[in-house]
Amino acid sequence: MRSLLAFTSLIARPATFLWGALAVIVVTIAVVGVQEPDVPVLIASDYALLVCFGYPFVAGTLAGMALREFQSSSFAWTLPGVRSRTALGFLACALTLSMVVVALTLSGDVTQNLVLLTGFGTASFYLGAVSVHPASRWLGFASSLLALLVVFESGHMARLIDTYLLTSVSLTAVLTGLCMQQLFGLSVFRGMPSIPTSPMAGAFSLNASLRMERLKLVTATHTHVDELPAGFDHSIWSWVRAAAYESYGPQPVKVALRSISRLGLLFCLIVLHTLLEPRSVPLLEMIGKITYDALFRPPYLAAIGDRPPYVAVSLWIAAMGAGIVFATPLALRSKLLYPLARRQRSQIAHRASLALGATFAVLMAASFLIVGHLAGWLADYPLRMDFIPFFVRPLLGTLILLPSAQYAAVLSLTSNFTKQYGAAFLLIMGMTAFVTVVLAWSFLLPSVLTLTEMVLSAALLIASQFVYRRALEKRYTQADLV
Amino acid sequence: MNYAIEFAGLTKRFEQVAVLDDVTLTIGKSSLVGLLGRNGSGKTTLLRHVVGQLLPTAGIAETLGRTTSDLRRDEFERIGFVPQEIRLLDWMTVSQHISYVRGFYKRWDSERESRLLDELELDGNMQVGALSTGDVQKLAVVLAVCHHPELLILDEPVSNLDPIARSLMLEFLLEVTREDDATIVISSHVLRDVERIVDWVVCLNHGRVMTDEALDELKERYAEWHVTKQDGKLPASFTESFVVEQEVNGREARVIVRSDGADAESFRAAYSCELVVRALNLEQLFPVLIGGDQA
Repeated sequence: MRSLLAFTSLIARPATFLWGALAVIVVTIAVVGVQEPDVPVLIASDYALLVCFGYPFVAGTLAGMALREFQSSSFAWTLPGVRSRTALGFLACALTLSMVVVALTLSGDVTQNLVLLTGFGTASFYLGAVSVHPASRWLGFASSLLALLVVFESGHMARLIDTYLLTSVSLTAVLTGLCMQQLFGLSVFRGMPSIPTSPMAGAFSLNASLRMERLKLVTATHTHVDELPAGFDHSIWSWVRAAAYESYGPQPVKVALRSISRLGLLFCLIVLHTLLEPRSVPLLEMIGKITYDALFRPPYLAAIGDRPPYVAVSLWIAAMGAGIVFATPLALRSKLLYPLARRQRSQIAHRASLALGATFAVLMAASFLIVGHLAGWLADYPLRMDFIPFFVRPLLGTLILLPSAQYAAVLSLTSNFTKQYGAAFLLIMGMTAFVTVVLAWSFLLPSVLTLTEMVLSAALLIASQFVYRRALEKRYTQADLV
Repeated sequence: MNYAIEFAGLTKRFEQVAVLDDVTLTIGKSSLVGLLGRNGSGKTTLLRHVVGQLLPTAGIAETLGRTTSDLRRDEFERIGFVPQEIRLLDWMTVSQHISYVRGFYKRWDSERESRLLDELELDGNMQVGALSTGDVQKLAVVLAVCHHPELLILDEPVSNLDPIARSLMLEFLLEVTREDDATIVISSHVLRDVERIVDWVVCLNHGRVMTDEALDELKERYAEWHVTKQDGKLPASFTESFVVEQEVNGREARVIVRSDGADAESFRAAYSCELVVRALNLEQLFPVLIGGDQA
């Protein structure tokens, strides 16, 4: 029992875990509600697989963050039996959670295979942990992709499992074994305290000590504003340039391109979706058709396939938005003393947010337009510009909500831990609200953006920026800055 | 097994840089060893090898009789470690953190824990993330000593403590040595404090061991001469072979000499000067020690 406590105590910090779980259930209901569940198949129905895999995966990401934080601490390595004890506790958490979720799922559908679904749930807990752990990037990438496949292609995946049961179980077992090895390997425990933690802001990594590590990492490679290129005239925009220099180094374009490269995962998902769809045309043409439809959803074409990946595109844009705010924020360092009045700091923070939002919007729109048109060319569609592409609505929604995430990021820089966890909660709830609203917006209204919508969106954009600016002013003039 | 720590030809390279270079060193059981050296001399790297966190590029490293790459639960039950850069779980309270760490050890001295918390004025209800740097350091020491370690590794354990806390901490470390018969290796730049508790000194410079000797012997080996000349000036420098360091300023000079070769009477006669002999403390000895003068 004492062994099990070694890990379970780490994730017993209740607030975020419970809030996160709550949020995930809401997301799940929203997603499942939009996507009609398939007819249950023999082994694992669409709905059961989605919940039994998806929920432990998200819980696993929280567990992975907790594990990462623990392994990064300087005292963990010398604790006796630390590897076996945390591994046991981790397994106990995975099994318990999976069994609970499976039990809840089974209440609605008695045809499920309890053991199989528990196994998938346990595996997904490990996959979730690996996806946020720096142990293996490739395994993290593979687990994220698999999770996306199950969430967005649960119908196909359920049928695949049903058809290739033994292969699916074997692959899952191998993948779980690899995850175990990566998470609890000797070299991981030995090396983690020396590795600066990932800049990714998660519930457990928002604390000050880890944030300092990230600052050290940045400091190690970039120097202070003294080394800015010529043209620094102490204007607000010059300070924004200084912030860009301090945040991304001398080549901010590289950071932007790296962000865009994450879209690769979305396109991997679309390609895999295409492979799973029944098709009568050549593969490349089908990839083109589905990509074009997923990004543009033109009013003159019928939807391609059983379930076009509109949800994935919407969610992806929101995730990318949250990513740039928390993973690659554009800000002056909070603990350095700059020759700036508090009001100036707030103006700089707002302009930097504006610049980041604008860069995000331009990069996303440009990359979606380019990829969409390339896909259209592959599908042999005529080039038409007389409609508003599908991705515009989620992008607009993200831009409207971006200031709230940016404000949460500002709060997390100076707030105590409880408030930081509050910020994480707000982020999760914000994403949930976003997905629900954007999906309703996209599917309930006509596929072409109306004039009213455009005016309303513009008004909301301006209003959100105005509120954000006032909030920043209040924060910077009335609160502690460190 | 007579040694707590044994290194033979230990070399550690990061990329092409040798941070430890052919270190051969043994630390006997129940010793109180001060590990000294300038910044970047390799002290922290050496201590990380002791607990097996770093592995040698070449050579042998053994702790409590086992190769450090293969340290197991049994050995870690007997080791206490306070790292230089302390990263704890900030979201826990002090009490939660202690009870969390306690769970890993078979034996835990709750009496020592509460006494230390009391003496070091640590509030169990405080969140670790809200503690001052000094208090985090105190907590790290509490976490490292309550399981009665046989080997206590302390990397800069008092650097952020105020003088009163530092004094308390040092007294406590002496008490640990007495009570547990523990081997303590302490790395610190506060040499006056180290001097109070250690009986052996190891000095590193550029990853090499320059000094590995008992503190008393070192103190006996060197002396400081305060030289004054009433009429005329002293020479710009002294060329005697026993002079290790010198600072000549007109009619006055401060000279560090090796006691075994130095003849004060002859020196006094040769330069027609007055000479006062003083014992050196560790801080004054330090420049000599990192120079490796052990002839």
